[in-house]
Amino acid sequence: MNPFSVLQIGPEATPKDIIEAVALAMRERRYPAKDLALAQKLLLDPTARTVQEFIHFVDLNTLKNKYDVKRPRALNPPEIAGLSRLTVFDEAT
Amino acid sequence: MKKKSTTAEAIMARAEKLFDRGNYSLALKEFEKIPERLRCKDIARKIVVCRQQAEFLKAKELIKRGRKAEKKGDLNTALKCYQTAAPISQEDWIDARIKTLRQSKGCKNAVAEALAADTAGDFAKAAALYAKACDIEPTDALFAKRASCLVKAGKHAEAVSVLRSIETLNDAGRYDLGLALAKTGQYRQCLKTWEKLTDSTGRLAAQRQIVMQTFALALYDRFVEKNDLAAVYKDADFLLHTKDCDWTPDQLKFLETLREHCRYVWIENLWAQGAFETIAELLASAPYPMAPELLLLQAKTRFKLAAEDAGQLCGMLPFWLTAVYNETFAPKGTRPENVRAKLIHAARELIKRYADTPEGKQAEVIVKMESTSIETLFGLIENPQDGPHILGTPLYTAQSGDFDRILKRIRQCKSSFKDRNSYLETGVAYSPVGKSLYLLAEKRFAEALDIFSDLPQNDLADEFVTYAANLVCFSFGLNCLENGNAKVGQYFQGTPELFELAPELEREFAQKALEAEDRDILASYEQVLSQIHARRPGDGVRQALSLVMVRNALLAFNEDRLPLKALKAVAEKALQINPENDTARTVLRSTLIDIEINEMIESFNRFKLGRASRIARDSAYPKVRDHYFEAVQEIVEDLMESEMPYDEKQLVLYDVCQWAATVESDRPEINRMVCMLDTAKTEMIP
Repeated sequence: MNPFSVLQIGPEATPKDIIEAVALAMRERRYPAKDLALAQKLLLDPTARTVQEFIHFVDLNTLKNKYDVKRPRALNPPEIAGLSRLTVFDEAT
Repeated sequence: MKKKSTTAEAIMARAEKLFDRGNYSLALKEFEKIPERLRCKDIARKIVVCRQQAEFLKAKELIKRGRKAEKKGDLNTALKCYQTAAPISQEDWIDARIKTLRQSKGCKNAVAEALAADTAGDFAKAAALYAKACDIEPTDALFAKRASCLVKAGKHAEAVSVLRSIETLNDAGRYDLGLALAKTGQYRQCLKTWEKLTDSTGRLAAQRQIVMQTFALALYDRFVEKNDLAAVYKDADFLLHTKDCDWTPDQLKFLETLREHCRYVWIENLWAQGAFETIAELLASAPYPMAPELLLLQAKTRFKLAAEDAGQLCGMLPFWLTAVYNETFAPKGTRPENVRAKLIHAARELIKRYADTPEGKQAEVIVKMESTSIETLFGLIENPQDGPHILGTPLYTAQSGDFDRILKRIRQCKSSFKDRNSYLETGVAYSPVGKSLYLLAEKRFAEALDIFSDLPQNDLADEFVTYAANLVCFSFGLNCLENGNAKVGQYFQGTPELFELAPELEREFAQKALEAEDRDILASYEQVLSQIHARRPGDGVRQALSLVMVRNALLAFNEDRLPLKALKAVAEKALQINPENDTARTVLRSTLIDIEINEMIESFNRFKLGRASRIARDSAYPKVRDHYFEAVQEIVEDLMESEMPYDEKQLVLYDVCQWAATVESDRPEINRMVCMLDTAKTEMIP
């Protein structure tokens, strides 16, 4: 079970957000009360929450930032429009 | 030459003859010579038949000429012949043929005009004329010519559409399609279309280069516009994998950077969608040494996959455990070791879900071995991370090929291991033969043994490899032995060294030997124990050998396969090996008693009373003497019941009594004999 998706909250949710999300979910009866209670328990305990964050979220900013894309200076090909049709294959066939 | 008769009768006769032969044209000529007045109804009918048949033959001739002309490609003559023959002939197909020929003629004309237009440089007109010809005759060749003219006319989109409708393209068609694709901005498709084309002039290569560079620039524009970065990733990857590229280092770096950046953007989206399989495919080629962030991503993705599929469990564990041990958990005042323990527990819980499947069972073995090894290492090595390298589990290390570095660190920490066995076991797990341990744990003994069959001799000199080889051979041999295979001695060659390092293995082996019940298996255990004992008389082996040889000998004795004296020898030898072997001592004692009793009875049977008495007297065992007196009792009873004269009975009884007194004078049996002797004496007095 992913407690974050059960409660429809993100990794930045505070304990207050969690309790509110549980209340809302209970009112809307999105999940059985047992699941909501477990989700709340997993997210209010710091160790269990760290485990859940580890399992359910990825932070790829470090990886993305490692690859900083810049326009290559030495990439100035001639216009494609200027390509003339080669006849070498006409002759061959 | 004889002149033909001109009489009406003669003409009539000739005409009839020709008519009967089917020569209607000549018959008609003859019939027409007959004067009108002489013509009867029958002749008039025959004249009509002849005229009809002549027309029919004419049509046949025209069709024949038409076919000949068609074959020669002379469509005009063919058409003329068919058109003349059509009203006369009654054949239905001629009209359809005339229609086809008219179309072919139209097509031919259109092609001729198109060729002229193409030569004159009016490509648009040529393309239109070819289109007309294609309508009449939709052949691949005409479509290709049309497309070629479209390309020349600059109508590239239309050319692409026409060329794509052609089933099999020749080189010219393929080139035209590629060019049209490039000019419509479809660079990747262009490069793929040109892939199989070869051109010795190098002009195509130059055009490909331009297309590739333009494609690379277009990718950058799409990246800036954030336009479907997944597609940008795929296209950049395609460009990087395209053969014969002449990229400069800068361009190459740009493409690689673009691809990697877009890969992770795409993965981010895929994660949100839960498309973990696609993420795993995107990470499959991730290089080692793996960046910690990438390792985390691998671990989490594989964990998600394993949650849905037992087949992913074993692949997940090396990444999961390595990531969990290498991650620094320090948020919100949590204790890192608690988080780590919970994450390992999460993996174990996942395995439990599949506990009944083969994959689940294999994963149980792997998680146990992997976590033991990495935990040992992390407990010993202060700075697990070494530059870009990560300290991984054994299977992770095997995947990364990072054996040497880890083994070096293990050797550096040798003195910190709790014992030499722990050091060697950890070293083996991280060595190139570490896989053998996993195979052993899964009881795949033959596969484990195979790992060592192809190893170079130098590798076998390594302490970890030697230890693993000894362990695998021992386990393989033990398995064979337990399955009743008698020739297993060769697999225990290295066992003495192994037992020296792993005493618990010696204990386990000894225990198994003692628990064996089957006669043959027990014999094999004795043989192997004896072999090991000869080289290393360790306590476990010594005790087990001593006991097993006695048990084995007893079994043989009970089945009459071993004489009593041989049993005695075995018991003596077993006691030599282990003087504390109570079983051997008991067996030896009972064997000695039996031997003495046997010898004593033998002496009695040969009437050698003195020898029997000596055996009883000298014996250390009261049981022998008990047996002696029982025998004496029987002799006396037999004697008394015999028909022997009293005086002779008295003499024998006296003799027996004398000998018995030398054995043990205060035995009640002797008193009874003395009484008998006295009674005999009294009975003898008349």
